[in-house]
Amino acid sequence: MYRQVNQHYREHYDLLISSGLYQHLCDAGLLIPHQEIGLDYAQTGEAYRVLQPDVIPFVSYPYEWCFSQLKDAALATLAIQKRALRSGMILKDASAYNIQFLNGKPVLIDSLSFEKYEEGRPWIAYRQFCQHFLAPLALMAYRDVRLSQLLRVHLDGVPLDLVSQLLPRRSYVNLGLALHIHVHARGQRAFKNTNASGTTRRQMSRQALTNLVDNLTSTVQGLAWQPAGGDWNWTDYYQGDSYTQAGFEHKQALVRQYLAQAEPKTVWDLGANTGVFSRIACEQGAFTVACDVDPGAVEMNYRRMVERGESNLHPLLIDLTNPSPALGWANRERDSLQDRGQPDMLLALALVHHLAITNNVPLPHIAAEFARLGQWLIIEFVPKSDKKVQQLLAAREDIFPHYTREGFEAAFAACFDILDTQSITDSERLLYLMKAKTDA
Amino acid sequence: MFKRTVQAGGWIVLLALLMIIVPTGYAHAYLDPGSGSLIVQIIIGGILALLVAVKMYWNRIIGFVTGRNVPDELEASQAENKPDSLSGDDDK
Repeated sequence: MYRQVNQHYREHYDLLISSGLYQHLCDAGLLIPHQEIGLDYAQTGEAYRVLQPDVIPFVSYPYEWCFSQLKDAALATLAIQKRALRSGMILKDASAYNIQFLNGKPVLIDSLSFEKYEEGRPWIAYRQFCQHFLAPLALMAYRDVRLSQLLRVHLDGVPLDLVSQLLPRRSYVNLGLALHIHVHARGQRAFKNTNASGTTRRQMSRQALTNLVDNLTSTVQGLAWQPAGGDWNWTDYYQGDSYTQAGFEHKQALVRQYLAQAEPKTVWDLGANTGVFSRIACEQGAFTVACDVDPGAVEMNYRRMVERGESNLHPLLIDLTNPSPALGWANRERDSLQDRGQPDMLLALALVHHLAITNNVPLPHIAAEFARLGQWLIIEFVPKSDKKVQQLLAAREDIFPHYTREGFEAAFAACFDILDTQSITDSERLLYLMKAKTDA
Repeated sequence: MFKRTVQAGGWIVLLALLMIIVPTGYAHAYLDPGSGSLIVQIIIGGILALLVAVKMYWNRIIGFVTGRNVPDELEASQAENKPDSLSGDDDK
């Protein structure tokens, strides 16, 4: 992937390098490094330089992030902005799409977002920061964590008039939210027909701008969200009454064994919860994307990742029955989940009963989609006799005559070669290692 | 001191007007909200400057009353954010 720096941007690019800002941010792990390559790669005659940025192994979008991922991305943006001002530069965009996670940390991927700071001019990206970062974080902290999905609909961040209405009255007590959301929203409305050309000169001192960035930083830092249920919910989830200790250890050993057999470089763990099995894949050297529909699970997974400094794990908030679609102009600005890579292996542990029974997805459809996504598959079949499936069927009619071991194996054999099957100790669950058929 | 008080008063009036007079709700803007945000930012910048000044004076009063040396936040903030390109004193 290449980026062309045009002549009209020359002055800004040169300052980015000469001021040392580029080097400082790259060393701090806040900016994606790039190589300057020959002008032969230029697309048009106005090229000044052609850059080749380092590759991001997996692209993710803000509506796929848990609360803390969005918060860390916001704080990274503000840290970059603050450091840029010291070098006489400023960010002209504060879009959440300019941040990606690399080695578990948020980095700015748009090196051309910097421009020379002109003393006195207000920050052009302030509105974008408030809509992309502060608004959804405030909604998640003060109302409901699921409101981050508003970012899927509003690709330039949540409109401030909407956020202002949705936030509860107690948000007015928070000075930062009162100013940057409520006053900001009203101000946008009050001045919407005002010609602002006069304001872009000598109206906001460097100190005022720094105060603004500092205040935004402390406001973001003050926003917090705790997943419900406390610690019990997460540690007990894996075993609980599904496995005995021996059974759980057996399952982990089997997954380890199958991973060693397939040696995948990238793994997508579907229904990863807090990432216990994702981490087994990471241990074996695979870059693992850990997808789960529960914001609390993804949050706990991410927090653990940050605590331990893990670098080849990517927790992600995904509803497999309704994964991220392609969005934006011509549905081509943001890729659908399926278009974002071909993992070598999928993990579908303790998952298939949720898809087939709770969500009525026929087993052949599940098999076909898994074969499309990845090459290898480690999948766990949870039979009807299992306590968890009994729970799922308790509240509804059993319309699943084909949800049996035979039905499961037949559905998957159509798209996969079943290489191995093991029964998990003290359980009726079965673990399978499969490889997608290449003539599908 | 008087000039500062008048300035402070001005910001408070503007803020009050904004909060009371302008309703929230769907903004129906024909143009995108770009220009509004720049103006609002300047207003908010002014309010924050006022609050920083108040805090600074409050620290000085406390310091005077208790006899302790309280660090001057404004000077600390300026020192921290001094642009690399400038040498000598920042005259803000």
